[in-house]
Amino acid sequence: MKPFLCLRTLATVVIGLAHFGLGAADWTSGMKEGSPEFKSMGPITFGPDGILFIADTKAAAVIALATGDTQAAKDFQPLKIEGINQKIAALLGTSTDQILIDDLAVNPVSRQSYLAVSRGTGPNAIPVLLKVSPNGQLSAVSMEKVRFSRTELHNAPADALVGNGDRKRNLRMESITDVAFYQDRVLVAGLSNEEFASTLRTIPFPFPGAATAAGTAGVEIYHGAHGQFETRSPVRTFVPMNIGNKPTLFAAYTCTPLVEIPLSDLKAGAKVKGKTIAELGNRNRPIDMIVYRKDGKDFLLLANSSRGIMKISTDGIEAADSITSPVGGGGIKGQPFQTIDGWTGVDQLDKYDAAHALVLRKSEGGVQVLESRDLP
Amino acid sequence: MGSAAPDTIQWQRVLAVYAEPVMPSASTRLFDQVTQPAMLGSHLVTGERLQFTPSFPLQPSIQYRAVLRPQALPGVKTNDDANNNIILSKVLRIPAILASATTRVSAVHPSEGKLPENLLKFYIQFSGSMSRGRSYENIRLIEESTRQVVELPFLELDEELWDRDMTRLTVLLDPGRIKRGVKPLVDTGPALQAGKTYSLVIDSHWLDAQGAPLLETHRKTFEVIPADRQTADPAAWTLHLPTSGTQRPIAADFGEAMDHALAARCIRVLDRHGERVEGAVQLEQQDHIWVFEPKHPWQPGKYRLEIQSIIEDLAGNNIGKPFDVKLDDPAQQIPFRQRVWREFEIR
Repeated sequence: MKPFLCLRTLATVVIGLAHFGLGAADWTSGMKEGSPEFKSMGPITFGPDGILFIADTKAAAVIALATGDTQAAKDFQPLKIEGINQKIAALLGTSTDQILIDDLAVNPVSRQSYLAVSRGTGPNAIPVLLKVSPNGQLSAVSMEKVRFSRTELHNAPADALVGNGDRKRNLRMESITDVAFYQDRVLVAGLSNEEFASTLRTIPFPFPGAATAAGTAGVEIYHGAHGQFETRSPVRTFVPMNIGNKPTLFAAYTCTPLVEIPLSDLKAGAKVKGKTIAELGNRNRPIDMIVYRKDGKDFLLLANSSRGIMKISTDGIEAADSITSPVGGGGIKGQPFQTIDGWTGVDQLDKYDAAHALVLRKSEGGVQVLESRDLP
Repeated sequence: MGSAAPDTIQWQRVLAVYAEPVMPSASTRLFDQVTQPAMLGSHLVTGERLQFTPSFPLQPSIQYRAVLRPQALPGVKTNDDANNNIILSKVLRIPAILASATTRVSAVHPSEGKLPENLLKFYIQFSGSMSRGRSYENIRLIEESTRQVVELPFLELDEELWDRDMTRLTVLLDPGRIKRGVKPLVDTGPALQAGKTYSLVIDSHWLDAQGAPLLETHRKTFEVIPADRQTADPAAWTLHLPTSGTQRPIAADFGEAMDHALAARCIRVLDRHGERVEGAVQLEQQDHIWVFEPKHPWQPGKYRLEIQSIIEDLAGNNIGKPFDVKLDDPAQQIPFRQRVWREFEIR
């Protein structure tokens, strides 16, 4: 068994490198120039060469936008914008109650921060992409004559139509809860508003044509509770990283366990059970997750609804066993982690540079603050 | 003919429009105190006329202040005192529209009065489109004997699970408090407890897409019964069959309430050739009974119901698979099939 595994791992790495080498030269292949249309925006994430991936939940699509924002950032300057939502409202000619900041992504090269914003809160809301320069300048990202490509997640099945005659409607929608780029693929987590199931899709990038759309079929994600129960488990937020040269996905479920999933397991149609590495506890909702390196060690930083922010060590995570017995009494088990006080009210989180995170957080009176913070 | 403003002149500095909430103090505000960015838009020069077209529609309750700074034109001498430099400012105030309430909660599913302790979701159906962003502030669960609000019973997703028209919101009960062996359930117990009575309260302060509150607060009161851990089983459904030559409906009685959305779309009728029989589906008796009325009269012969296994009962149990599979129970280890069939004959 072991030699087979080694060979397979080696093959995966070689194929991965081949893809990487091939794609690195031309990430914009298959892109066209024009004005991409959006029904909604967010989540968003950066890929290579200033390419921003924008999930459009309402259109069930992911758009890859070549922002052309590829100039390397200068030295770090702290960023703090009090009332970022007020500034956005002014820019878009409206009031703060008509502004929703749906996601935040930092271009790792230029350190410009991109915000997926909804102007309006109803079904006719207008999605807008904004950016914040490292010196705090807020501006709109033009969608005129840009280079982009687009992939449809799936066509809603005709079976989803309910009602009769002209009143036939499709009420089913899959919300995209997170999106990430890893090496040569885009990972997309979705949650349906009807069946309770989590779908994680792996889409090759540059996006394939329609003929290979089957490659985007989802993987069903399960959670095994202590070897006793198994349930379908929607993924709230995830982050890919290498653990001992093994491409790995760290995912936080909506029911709060933090799990590890080898990326090689994510094959179309597969049923995947994550290995529980931490249980984050009750009254808590995972929001966003990043990875970073400090003092030669890798850490996960997880923003939560009620516990501030958690710094989770990945030390020995590869060899760690899945948590196999219930963790009662408010206790915490699994990978060691530390709760960082003072990072409360975080709505969005991304890595700003090697030593800093960028957070969007709530302040007094509905005011939101965008600021860089030292990574703990 | 107009021409787009040339890039060499920063027209935004010459003519800028600032959006400000309508407040009594706003009219006394000095222009140099404008700290917010100007509104996005495009500038167009037509002869001696400079026109600003905002990128977004103007909105009620906002005042738009146009500020002309001719000194920003090339060749105009600048003056250090910013206020003296402003030649013209004009405020366009869009009055607030007091939108009258027209939207109400038209249905809550499940509509039954008795719901299992491991209930997975509610669908809240509105008569019109709603707004997103503050949904969970307007929904609460109250335990009736103590009148206490249940703490964090729902899975509060920022995305909010709406349909495209935003007339239906799916509210998941926190799966961490339903799944056996998971920490939130171990530590805090289930959100709903068998034997108790609860009310799901949907507050009238919730704003619809027009910014108007709901017509009234909606309250759904229900009794909680023990958890349902049985899989859904089409073989156990009772079929009520019509006779051939009629267009009378066929009915399938589930023997329990099923998930409203999934029951409406996961079952179809196939004829003996495997072709879909056209017709209209309705759910009756609080989603206990699926009713299918054919478009054309029934022909005698064999038919079958094709059921997608993702169909759920109120506790998220599928066909052949309970919501939480007990791993040491071999009966629950059957491979999941995408579809199952139930045959019937029309005579």
